[in-house]
Amino acid sequence: MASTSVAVTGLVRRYGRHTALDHVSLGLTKGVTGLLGPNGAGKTTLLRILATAMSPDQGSIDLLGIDPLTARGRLEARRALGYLPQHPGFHPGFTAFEFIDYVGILRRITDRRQRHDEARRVLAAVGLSDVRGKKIKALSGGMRQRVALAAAIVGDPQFLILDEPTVGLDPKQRLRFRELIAELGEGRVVLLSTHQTEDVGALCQHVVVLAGGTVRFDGSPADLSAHAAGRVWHSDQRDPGAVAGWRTGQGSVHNIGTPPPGAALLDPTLEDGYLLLLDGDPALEEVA
Amino acid sequence: MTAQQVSVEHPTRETLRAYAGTGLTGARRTAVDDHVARCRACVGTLAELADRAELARGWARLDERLDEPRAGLLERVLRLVGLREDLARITATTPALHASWLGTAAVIVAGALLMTRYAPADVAGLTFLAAFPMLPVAGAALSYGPRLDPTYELTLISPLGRFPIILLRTLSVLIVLIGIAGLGSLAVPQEGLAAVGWLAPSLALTLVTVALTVRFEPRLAAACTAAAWAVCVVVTSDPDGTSLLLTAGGQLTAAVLVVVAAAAVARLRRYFDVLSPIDFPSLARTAP
Repeated sequence: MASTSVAVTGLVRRYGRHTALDHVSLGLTKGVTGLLGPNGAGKTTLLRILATAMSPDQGSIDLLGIDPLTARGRLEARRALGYLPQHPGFHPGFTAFEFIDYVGILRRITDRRQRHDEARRVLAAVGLSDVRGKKIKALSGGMRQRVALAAAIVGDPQFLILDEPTVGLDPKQRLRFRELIAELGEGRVVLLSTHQTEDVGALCQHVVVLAGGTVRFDGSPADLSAHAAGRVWHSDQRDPGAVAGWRTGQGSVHNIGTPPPGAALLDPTLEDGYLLLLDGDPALEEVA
Repeated sequence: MTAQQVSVEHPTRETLRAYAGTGLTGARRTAVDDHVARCRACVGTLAELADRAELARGWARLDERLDEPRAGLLERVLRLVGLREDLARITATTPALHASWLGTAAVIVAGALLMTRYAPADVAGLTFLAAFPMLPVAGAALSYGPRLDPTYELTLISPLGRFPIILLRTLSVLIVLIGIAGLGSLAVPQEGLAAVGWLAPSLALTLVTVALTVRFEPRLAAACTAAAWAVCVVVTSDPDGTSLLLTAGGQLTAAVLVVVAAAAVARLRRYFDVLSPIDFPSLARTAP
């Protein structure tokens, strides 16, 4: 029986002197795994390697029982995975249907009837059946992103890689996307790279934090939140001892760090845990 | 859209009954297809006349016809000459086969013809030799790459493999550009070997460029090849406008280079999927 999990071990990728991934190891099972990390953490490099768009310098990958670092395994792995790039591109003259049909061609669905049926299926799955005949350039940003998601699920891949799929979407579109990703996570392995801790909290059973090319956290969202237990409090003014603090809509200041004695502690959120985990990282200094 | 907004006359009930039972063929069926796709009144009539199963089959057939991707001129030509539909579509999306670029190539050929006619003999004799091989080299550079193909990342992870896609696109560009340049040569039969001496170098330089793309970004590979060719033309030419490259020995050397470069490309084919160090040059450059 084919494996239903993805595992990477000791993954290293360098660009000249810069090490983008430094001995990264992690395991993914069915469901949605959130990949968090500041810009430059190595998330996109990891995703591109898993998508077989790029090769690592060192390390091994077990992708649903396939070794994508061999010539035969690579092509086999490509049939088993779907990838939504960070900046999906479209041929400007294509309609949504024509684009998905083209992706079907790239995915080696040579039978025209089967390819067209598949295009209709994936466009229906993302709720775009009614606009499938429209030119992509005439669609809204949210619809285009859904077209890109439809492209990623052509051929019903069992491993889905999504690189920041909700960037630039309005709250309603993000909610729609959450629903879609949650549906897709049932029965397949989904790796969701994002900066949105709310998305991770809402969707993911498993979260990995990458920073400086290394895995800084690998566990459940609850465990990541618990990382900040007893280290989140509110006050009238920004506490000088806080690692980060911001005035909330209620008027008080939300502080994270080492609380002063007698501080009014708050239940930590996933974002609190994430920010404290990255304490000392340049990404956190931007927030603070 | 209401029935009143549809400009064409409604089909009779008898015609709709025949249509529902697929008793219509050819242009008559197409005309009714087009009408019912836009006319709710006739959709209602159809629902009364046909049984559900027949109706479902009818809608499926209509979906298929309306979704049918519209092939562009180039794709239609490629299919006319016998290329499979999927391969024709991949070829037709080649950036270097866009009308704007082919127009530029035609202008260059026209410019070369004008130079042959009006420039001094020592320059005119070498015009074709120096300029024409650059066209397919540039075309190879514009066939595939991260900044040229909007679906580049999807192409990279196609189960087809990168090599067949690169080869298909490059050969198509080569054939089209050789055709354009060949028409230019036919316009100046008096130039003899000088008018066709560019052909073997064109093939050789294109293959060298393809081989170099294993290691270099396509535009850099093409720039290196073009620069080397310019130096070669200058070094092997005499002030009177003759060139060693236009002798039998020179042409034989170019033919040998074609064979060697083709063998190199064939030998390197498996590396196109493995070595992609410059696939994401922006990423490599921005890495600290």
